[in-house]
Amino acid sequence: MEKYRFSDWLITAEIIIIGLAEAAHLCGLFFGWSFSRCALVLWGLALAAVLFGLCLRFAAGRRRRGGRRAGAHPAPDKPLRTERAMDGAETVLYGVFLLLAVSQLIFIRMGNTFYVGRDITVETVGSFLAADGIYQVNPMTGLPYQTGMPLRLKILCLPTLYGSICRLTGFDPAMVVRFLVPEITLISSYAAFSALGRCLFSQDGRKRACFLAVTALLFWTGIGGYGTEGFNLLCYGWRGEAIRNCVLVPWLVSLLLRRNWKAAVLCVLAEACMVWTLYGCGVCGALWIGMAAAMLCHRAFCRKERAK
Amino acid sequence: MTELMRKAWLGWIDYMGQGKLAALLLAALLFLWFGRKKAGQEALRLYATVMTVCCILPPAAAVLMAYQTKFYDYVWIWSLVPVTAVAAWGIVLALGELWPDFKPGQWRRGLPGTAILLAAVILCGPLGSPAWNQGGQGAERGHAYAVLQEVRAAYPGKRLCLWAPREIMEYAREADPAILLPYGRNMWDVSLNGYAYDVYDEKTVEMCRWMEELEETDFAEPGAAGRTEAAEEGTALSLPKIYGDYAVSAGVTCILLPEATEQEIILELEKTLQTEARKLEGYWMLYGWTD
Repeated sequence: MEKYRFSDWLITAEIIIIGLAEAAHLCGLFFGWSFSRCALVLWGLALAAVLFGLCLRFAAGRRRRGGRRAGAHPAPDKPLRTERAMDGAETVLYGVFLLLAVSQLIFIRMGNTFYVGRDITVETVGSFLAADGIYQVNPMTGLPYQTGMPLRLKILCLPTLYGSICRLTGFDPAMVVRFLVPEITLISSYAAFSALGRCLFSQDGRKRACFLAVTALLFWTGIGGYGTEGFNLLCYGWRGEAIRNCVLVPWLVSLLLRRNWKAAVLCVLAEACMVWTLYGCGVCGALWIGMAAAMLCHRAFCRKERAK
Repeated sequence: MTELMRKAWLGWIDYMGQGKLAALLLAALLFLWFGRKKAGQEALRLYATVMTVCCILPPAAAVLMAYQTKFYDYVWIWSLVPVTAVAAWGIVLALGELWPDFKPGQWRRGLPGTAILLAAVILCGPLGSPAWNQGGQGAERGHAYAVLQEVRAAYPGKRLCLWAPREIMEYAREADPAILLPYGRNMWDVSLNGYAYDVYDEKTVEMCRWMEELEETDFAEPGAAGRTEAAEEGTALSLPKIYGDYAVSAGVTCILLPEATEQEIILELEKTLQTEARKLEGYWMLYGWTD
């Protein structure tokens, strides 16, 4: 199994935050906690998770140092200095990629083309903050619900996460939902595509750089088509569907290509927290099963070929 | 199932109408399978190919739509295919053949082919401004925010339940979550009805319709928004009085009417609500009857 890189850790951290947000959201929903309390719990848990991660890292570092002092072989996950310096073509390709990525960040910041049809996230986050409670009022009117809302949508945690970011930063809901979150989604998406590029072109730095540049170009190309990845990232980046399609799916593919089946389960769980799926069996679950089936088919085919 | 299949077929046509990214994906898959160099990662190739075919064929697409709870549109079944990843993979391999290792010394051979390929990629997208932004969404939002700020300034610290034209109500809740509305965006964007079981009563629906009529005053027959058929016969109440009463019973504390609203209607509403209208950023504002 290939080692976990920075891009993997970044997305894992985001998934953990989504999981914590789901826990806080469900507490608010079923135990009637105030939204302020949910936000406090979320950031408290996030802080605890960071401290726990740091402790683990520190302990692992000590173990490694102890092992080396005792004359043992270097730990297997210690990176060997195989990384070579970037050459001219690679630098140009990364430059093109950066140019395109920065232009996309600026485009999101300009904020004239976000798509608000079929979406009430800003209103929902605003209503959480104004009522200091989760789904106390109908986000579309601000008045108390007469008959309520579907539980399958009520349990999704993104509004609580975004509201908690508002509480933490002091930004208003529109700022967080329409600008800050899509920018984070875009950066995370490139982290996921970078992880995928490493799997597809593990030996070729130029092709990896080219892969990222072409991906960025394809995002620009798809911007006007509802449901495409470019549209999701540049016009709809706060939605669970966008995070799933542009961050979770490419990262999941990269994990499956690396045969990291356990970490892949994280994507399935994260999707269930963000997007209404068929009892949790969403896109990530289907992709996980589909890729596993494809790998089995390929293995069976290879075995047959060898037998011939 | 037949209905889902029909939706899947129409969805595919619509999807192709938005741009040719699916065509680009198919071309990339063909290249990955039949290109000169071995692409590797057979499992991903196989998975992407099978899922692409499933998304295109209506019976399989209908099954996938049922799997994604039937709540989402056809385009979302394409989430199952890593479209950008596979297309980019194919394009990078194709570029690798056109311009091996991107060696600067081979630019004469590589550059024209690369330029043509990249131009083809760009042309595969839906060119021009996104379809939903033709009307200048930003300007409309900016105007609504400015109006709402003025309304808030005129109404500081009090419970504000606003009844206004659609272009204001559309943005009221996002601009200020403390503003309440008698009806929300789901009145005109039916896709939002999935977010609540609540339905509006007949009076609220009529309030919305009347406000829309007032917005179209410039195009309507003068006086049409001010009288019912019965009122024209002199036997019933006039519409401003009826809707003024509806608004009060719905808890509305502030009304904005388009500037072009007939004076007769404004006078009638003033009489019903016992308040005085004032001009505000292209609207007539009525408030104060709850003080």
